[in-house]
Amino acid sequence: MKRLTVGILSLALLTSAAMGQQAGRASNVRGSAGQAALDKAAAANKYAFVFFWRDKNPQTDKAWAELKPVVDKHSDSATAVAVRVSDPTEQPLVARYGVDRVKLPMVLAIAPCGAITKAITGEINDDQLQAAFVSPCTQHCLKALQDKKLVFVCVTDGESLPAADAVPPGVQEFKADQRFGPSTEVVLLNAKDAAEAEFLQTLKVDASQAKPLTVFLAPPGAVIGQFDARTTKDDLVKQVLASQSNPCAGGKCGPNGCGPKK
Amino acid sequence: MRMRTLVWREIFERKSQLATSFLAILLGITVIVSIKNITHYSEKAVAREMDSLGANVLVLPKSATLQDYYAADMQGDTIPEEYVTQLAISDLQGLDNLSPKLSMPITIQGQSFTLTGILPKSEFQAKAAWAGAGIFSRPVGCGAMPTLPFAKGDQKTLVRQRVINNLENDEALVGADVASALALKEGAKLTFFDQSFQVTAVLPQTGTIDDSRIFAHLHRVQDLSGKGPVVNAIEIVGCCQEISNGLVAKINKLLPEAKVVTITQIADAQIKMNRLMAKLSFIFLVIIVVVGGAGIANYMYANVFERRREIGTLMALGANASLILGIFLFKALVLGLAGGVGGYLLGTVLALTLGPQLAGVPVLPMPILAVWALLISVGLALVASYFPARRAARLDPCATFQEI
Repeated sequence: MKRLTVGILSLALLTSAAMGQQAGRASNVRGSAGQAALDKAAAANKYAFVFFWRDKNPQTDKAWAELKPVVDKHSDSATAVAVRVSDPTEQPLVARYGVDRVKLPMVLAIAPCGAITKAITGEINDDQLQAAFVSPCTQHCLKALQDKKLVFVCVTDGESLPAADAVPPGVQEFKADQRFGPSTEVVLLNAKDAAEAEFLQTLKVDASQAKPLTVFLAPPGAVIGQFDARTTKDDLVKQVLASQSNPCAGGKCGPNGCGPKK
Repeated sequence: MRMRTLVWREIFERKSQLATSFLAILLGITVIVSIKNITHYSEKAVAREMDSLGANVLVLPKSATLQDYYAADMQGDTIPEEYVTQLAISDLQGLDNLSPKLSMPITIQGQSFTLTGILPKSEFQAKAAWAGAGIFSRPVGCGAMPTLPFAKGDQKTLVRQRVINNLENDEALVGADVASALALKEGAKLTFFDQSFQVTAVLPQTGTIDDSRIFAHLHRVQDLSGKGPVVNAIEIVGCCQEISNGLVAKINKLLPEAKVVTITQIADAQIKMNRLMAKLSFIFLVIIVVVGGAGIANYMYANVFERRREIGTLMALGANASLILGIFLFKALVLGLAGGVGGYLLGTVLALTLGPQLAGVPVLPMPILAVWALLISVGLALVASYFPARRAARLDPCATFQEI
């Protein structure tokens, strides 16, 4: 059982970590300056701030002039590259991110793992740039969700359990199920890691709690629920199906409510 | 002689004054019942319409009129499709389903329909995750469902949830009337503008313009219309809590070139009429209390004054104060009951007759209004009669005989 656990975990984490680089290699385009910059940034474990623009005009110049110095301030962890959406060599990149029908200029902050951590369309300043730098777990969760996968964030206290045992049996079985496994990612999160404190807060997880728990996320970023170690695969499947059968779960539908009636 | 006989005779002693007081109560109750009845069914009709729309916020071109909200996506002006991405990646809380639409008239086999381009959820939801870590703190439970990677989704939910998960470029969904007129079933081929589409779903009957729509991928419809990357409207399912916290104003700030309205605003005329009627019923309630109450009190005071000899005689014969008080209050009770019942019946008949003409909605009798009508009329009659009755009960028989 333990071997199976370790196997699943290793596979999941390796897949998750290598995701961005694989995507980058698969779609690498000869002559694409944008793609080359993305690959270089990922290799250097840096964020890439990709500046997509269409026409050279004062608005574009102003936005680039705002971005460049702010990124340069964080040159140890970030790099900036400009990509013109009408450039034929950049078309695969433009198509991959679907930026041909968005307001330009726009900046996409892309983490080393390939996750988009922020999209900026208006004024660019240091605060926005800082918001794009997210914790490793947040990056991996965002990447999986942007790849339309379910995510189990297994929160441990980092001490009482070996990492492999942090994944509850129910989650392991869910991941092993052929129906759900290929579309599911498992991310381990150490509650004692100060870098993840903000992410835990966002997930409404009390970092000081004693028991390990699992947070279940679905695209685009919906928190389906929090579960303890006793939760079985059937419970998780039931929860997933319930989230689909009731569009107003936890809310109020109807004429005076928020969403449409079922 | 029993009290009931005494009261019965007393009631018909001064018929004209009695008729005036009765009419005041009757008419007041009639008006209140009819207005309340029509307002209730009118409000229900508005709620039904708003519910059938599913979305609760619309983003439209500035020039769009709201005269016909269902046709709001058929007007000529457009807004850029990029607004969808701006909304999706914004940090606005409470934006759930987004449904951009571009519509154009279309003729197939000599019959006119509406071709509507829609964007499947899968295409803009990925961009929603560009909002970064903030996406995890967005409110849930407002009508939006998480997207499951392995769930294909039921396309027929389009009519209720205004959005579907996936739609390929060569797929089309048809409304019930279109399917009926063109004898289409799921899996059938449909050709227009020399382009072939596969019908993936026949949508259930809604009784709205959606029944005569053909839905296809937005980008395909944009190509067919030659209008470029634009839409006529963006329907939004927004969190009510966030709407009340100023979501519409925030969207307006984000998209200053667009007109952002709530469905409530669209149904504003009907809602205003309902509010007006509610105010009118309140005004009539005040009138009935003041005029009716004063009329009854006046009638009772006059009655007590004119019949003080009889009251004195009754008291000299042994009638105590409570009997006298009871006679006048019982009389008021009969008056109130008659006014309440008559007013409810007349008001209901009026509502059933005028409701469909005034508010354009079918109206049914509301038994609960009978209870309110009786409470108001009986309560009013008793309160207005109490002081004259108390005065009668306190009359001194000796004093009344001295006046003779």
